[in-house]
Amino acid sequence: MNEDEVRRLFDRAASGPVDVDRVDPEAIVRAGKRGVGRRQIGIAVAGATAAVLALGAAVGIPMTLDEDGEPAAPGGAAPQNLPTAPVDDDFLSQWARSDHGDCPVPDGQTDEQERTAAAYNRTLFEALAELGAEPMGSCLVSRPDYDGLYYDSFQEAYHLEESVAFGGDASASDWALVRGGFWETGGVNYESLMELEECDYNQGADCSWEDTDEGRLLLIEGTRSDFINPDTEEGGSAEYPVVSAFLFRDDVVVTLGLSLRFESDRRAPSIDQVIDIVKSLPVGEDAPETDAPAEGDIADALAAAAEQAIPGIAVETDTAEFVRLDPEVAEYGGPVYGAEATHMVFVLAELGSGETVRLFLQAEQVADVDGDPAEAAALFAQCSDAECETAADGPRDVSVHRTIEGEHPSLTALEYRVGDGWMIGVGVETADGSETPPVDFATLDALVDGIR
Amino acid sequence: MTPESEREFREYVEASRATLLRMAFLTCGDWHHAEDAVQNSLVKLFGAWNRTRRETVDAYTRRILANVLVDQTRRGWFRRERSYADLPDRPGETSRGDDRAEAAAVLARLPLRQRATLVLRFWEDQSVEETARILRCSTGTVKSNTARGLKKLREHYATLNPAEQGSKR
Repeated sequence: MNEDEVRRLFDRAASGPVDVDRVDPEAIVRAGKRGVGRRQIGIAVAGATAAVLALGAAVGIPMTLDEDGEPAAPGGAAPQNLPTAPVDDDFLSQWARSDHGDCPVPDGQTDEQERTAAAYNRTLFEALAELGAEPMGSCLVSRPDYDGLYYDSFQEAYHLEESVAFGGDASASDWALVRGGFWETGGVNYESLMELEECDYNQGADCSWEDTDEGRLLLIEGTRSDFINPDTEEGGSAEYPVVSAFLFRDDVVVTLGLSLRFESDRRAPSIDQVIDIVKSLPVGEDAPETDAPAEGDIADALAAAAEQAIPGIAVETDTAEFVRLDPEVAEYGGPVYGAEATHMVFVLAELGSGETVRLFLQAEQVADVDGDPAEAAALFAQCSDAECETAADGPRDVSVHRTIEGEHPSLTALEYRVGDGWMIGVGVETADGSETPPVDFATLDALVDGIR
Repeated sequence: MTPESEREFREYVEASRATLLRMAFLTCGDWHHAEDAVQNSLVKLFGAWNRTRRETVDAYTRRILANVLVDQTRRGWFRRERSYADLPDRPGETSRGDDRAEAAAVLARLPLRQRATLVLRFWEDQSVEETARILRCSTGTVKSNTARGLKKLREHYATLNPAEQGSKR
């Protein structure tokens, strides 16, 4: 059945007279006026309720701290006198998210679907990172927002809709909407269907076919119409450069496409790079069992980045200690690394010179910040208690080099990512806190880059 | 709302109700439910009339209507309708009324979102982007719903008339 036949089917189904009087304008206006009245009352009540809830939340803050604010037992690599609190249970899952978002992930996925999506996410986001694309961590407001791929039971398909930023050029704001997914064909010839949809309806798209060992590839380059704001759809549509591919395996269709929103003349990902990603997705493989994110994962990430950036270093991961800072950190008299929302991993390491140092990673995801991101970064880096040099790495990222002096001198390189709201820093101090350690900011910057 | 706005709203309802009723019927397959859905949608539109730009009101109304229809389906309103909308055994020998019923029954075999997508794409001739905007979903979802809807219709007709389908290949 083609489109004209579908139109004729609709014509037949909707033919004949329509009793329009069943839709009475006067009755609708009367019902509409009643509805408007109810809604206006509802708004007033909702406003009052919100005020009461806000008051309750403010009153509730000290109570929460009283219940959860017990200091963690000292030990391991963390400084002995550092005021700490139990780690927030949600922090690890937040840290482990592929899309760097902080919006709640909807329920409803089975364990197998979650494992499958996780396996694809790992491959996909690693490949995107190799293209210089970093998840923006944005949350959809018009529909549920998942962590990367998710199974849509209605569509019987896995879908992906994420935004990624391309960094490295301080003068540009370059991002892309990444859409993808895969589904079983069920014996249907999707090659012609998707060619019809992607190519026949899009005058600006150049389509071509390529036969590969993995299956036929439909390659799409050029431009196509897309929403200016894919989430809210405000502002309507416009033509955007697109690069996408469909891989028609024996019984599965896999697709990935980028709608590019580049302001600079940055070179766009090539169709070959997109093909490589599509081919690399582990279609047909059993999704491996995945463990829940663990505290050791962050220490391992820190150790791996350190060993990559500092030749000769030996990180003693068994000394790793994972803590959340207690609010008293501002007044205890030692280094003020962060605030109560800051989680930190401390680990001891021996440099090639034989000197033992304490490495630390600090991270927190901060809420939306109004105003100057550099000021916000300095605030979260506790620069009021330290010397800081702040620089914009681009429209979305701010770099802070923090020097803490005093009895426990340390250097910390921090990065505030405006897109996903993560403030991540890596620092170093000598184990006995006596003097500034021999690791420079350039090395610490590399460590930050190596971690996420 | 000013008397002038109310007058404009009434004029809009009178001008658009036949089209909206047909669109709703094609989507849900039942005239009574279509009338309910159109009326509910227009009541919602009334509440937003002063904030609605006239150049986008058609798209906005279709979005409301699509959401109302989907909401109705979520509540299971149309499960009964599908059972009596089954295809007649001998579709080739039908009167005009039977022809309409048969066409409606064929469409009723599709899941609601696929039907809504096909109605917007091929009855209303909306673009993929506009259809996505109305249904509040991604363009990819529109495409896959279109493809799946067409596939189901194709399979259905292939079952009914395998010889004809085979000759087309």
